[in-house]
Amino acid sequence: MNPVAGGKHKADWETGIRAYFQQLPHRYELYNTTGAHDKESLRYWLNNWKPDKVVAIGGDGTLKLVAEVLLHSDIPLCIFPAGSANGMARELNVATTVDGCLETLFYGTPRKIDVLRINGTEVCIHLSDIGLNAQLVKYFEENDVRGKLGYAREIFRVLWRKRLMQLSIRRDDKTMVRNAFMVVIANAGVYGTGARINPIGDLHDGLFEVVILRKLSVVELLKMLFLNRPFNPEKTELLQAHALTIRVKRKAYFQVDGEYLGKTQQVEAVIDKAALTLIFPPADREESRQRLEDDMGKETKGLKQHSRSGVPPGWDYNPSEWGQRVPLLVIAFIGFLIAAYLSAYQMGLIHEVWEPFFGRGSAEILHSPVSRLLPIPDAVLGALGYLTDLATGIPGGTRRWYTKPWLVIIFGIAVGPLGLASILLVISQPVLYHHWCTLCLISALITVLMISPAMDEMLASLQFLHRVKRKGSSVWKAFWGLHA
Amino acid sequence: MVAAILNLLIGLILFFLPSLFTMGQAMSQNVFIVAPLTLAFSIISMWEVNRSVRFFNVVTGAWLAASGFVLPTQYLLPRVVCGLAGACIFLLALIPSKTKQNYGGGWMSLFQKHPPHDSPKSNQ
Repeated sequence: MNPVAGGKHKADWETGIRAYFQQLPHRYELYNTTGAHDKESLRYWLNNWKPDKVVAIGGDGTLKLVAEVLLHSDIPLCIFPAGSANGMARELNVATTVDGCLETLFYGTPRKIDVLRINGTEVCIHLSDIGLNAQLVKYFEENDVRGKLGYAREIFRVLWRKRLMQLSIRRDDKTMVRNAFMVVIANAGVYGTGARINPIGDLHDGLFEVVILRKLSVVELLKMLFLNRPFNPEKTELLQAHALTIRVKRKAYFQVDGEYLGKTQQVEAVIDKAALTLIFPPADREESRQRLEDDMGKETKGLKQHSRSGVPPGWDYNPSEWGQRVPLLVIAFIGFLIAAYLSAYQMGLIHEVWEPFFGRGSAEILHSPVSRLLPIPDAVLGALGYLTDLATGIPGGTRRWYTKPWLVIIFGIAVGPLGLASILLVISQPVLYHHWCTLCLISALITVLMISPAMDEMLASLQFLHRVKRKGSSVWKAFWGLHA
Repeated sequence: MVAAILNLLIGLILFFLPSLFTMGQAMSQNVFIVAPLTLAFSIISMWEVNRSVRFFNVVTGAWLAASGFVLPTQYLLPRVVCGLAGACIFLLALIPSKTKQNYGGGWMSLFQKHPPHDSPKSNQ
């Protein structure tokens, strides 16, 4: 796992994987790349662990690193796309979710693929290029903003500084001369952005393609991105080869599988047939799901539900599902509107308050000393409480009870005390002021209605932390979703 | 669930008792305190995961029943009504109800040495 790939913490991947394997008979080991001597370390650990399968969790750079270690080893390699650029994962149509990836790991099909040997030392399993894209990779590596935003920013810089290269391509004892902005040496077909740079790319045909971008054209770009139609040869030229050499008159930017390798004047590429075993996603995902459920059997039924649909162990449903949360959020929003309306009245922004049953009851209650006990009116406090409910109830996916326990627990705490305060305010109305306020009662009812649906999710999170504690792992890290 | 709904209805009725009967300030204020609490505990305990919250109504019911005799009032009827309402709340709160779903052992599991949610056979 590359812990810094993609500009996003890998907690969700790690937590999901740990949860999945929690009660399975399979054993796994996790190696975090450090950027220093990773290849040597990986070789050492692979020799020690002797794995049946290896997973690269990261972007194309991480995949390249692991692939180089596994070359000609027959150990199947699976891709979990967690990087900024996940071109190879996109090529193979690998799922982007933890569950989908784990499905591929267990029920995908291992197949041999060709790789490219570049300049005798580098291995390329996806795409290598000279020119614009390599320049983009370089800028991105220098950029401190990771993720898609980082890429977008650097695209503008690259287009601003684009340079036409003069190059010669030698293939099968024939040499051709071209001017081009970019030359792609393509084992695969699709960039991580989704642009199909090589429409005839095949990982198993014993050939690779060379794509020469002679002119930058919006139409050609649209073809790559959406249309999947043949390129205009005057603008984009496509060649096939077993081996070739590209020479550039002036040194040009050069990258292999998302890794910038400096400026170069010469690139030699040779195909290395069936050199790597990759695990391809199952053709029939529904069937693979069924197989997984059958294989895991009754003993691990709880785990299966936990990892697959986010159902906590020992539960029959997932309290973090949107079906559970949305009704809660809707009534929290209604509560917020009511509290905001009452706040407006308390702050003098409106001069009348709606009261269908109790005459001047609402006015008396809303201007009572209790409503002014704190520096801000109590309705404003209520509105802030509802906002907190919304702010902590909306974020997070359907597995947030274990990926973000902190959020779920804050949500539970926000809902609980708000309900308690509402009950106390309801009690204070007749006891202290001998009046009732209709909207205050409705707001109190809403907060009480919210308690139980919020508490079940909090219970699931607390049970999760309880399990972490029992296993002797760090509850603190688990609380922040850093460790499961 | 039925017991929780009945307690909810009793809680609602309690809100109107001081308007229906003359019961003195102490008794009426006591009812106004007990009513929202009963109502809130009933609503919360309607969800299976928090079913045990019903036991709080054992306390509110017992107090309401006792308050008719403890709190000063010169009227007999409110004593009887509060006593009956409190007894009903008390008894209804004691009635166990079936839970159809599993919650990994519920809240009590957090204090157990071998919680159901950490058992290999959870969810079976």
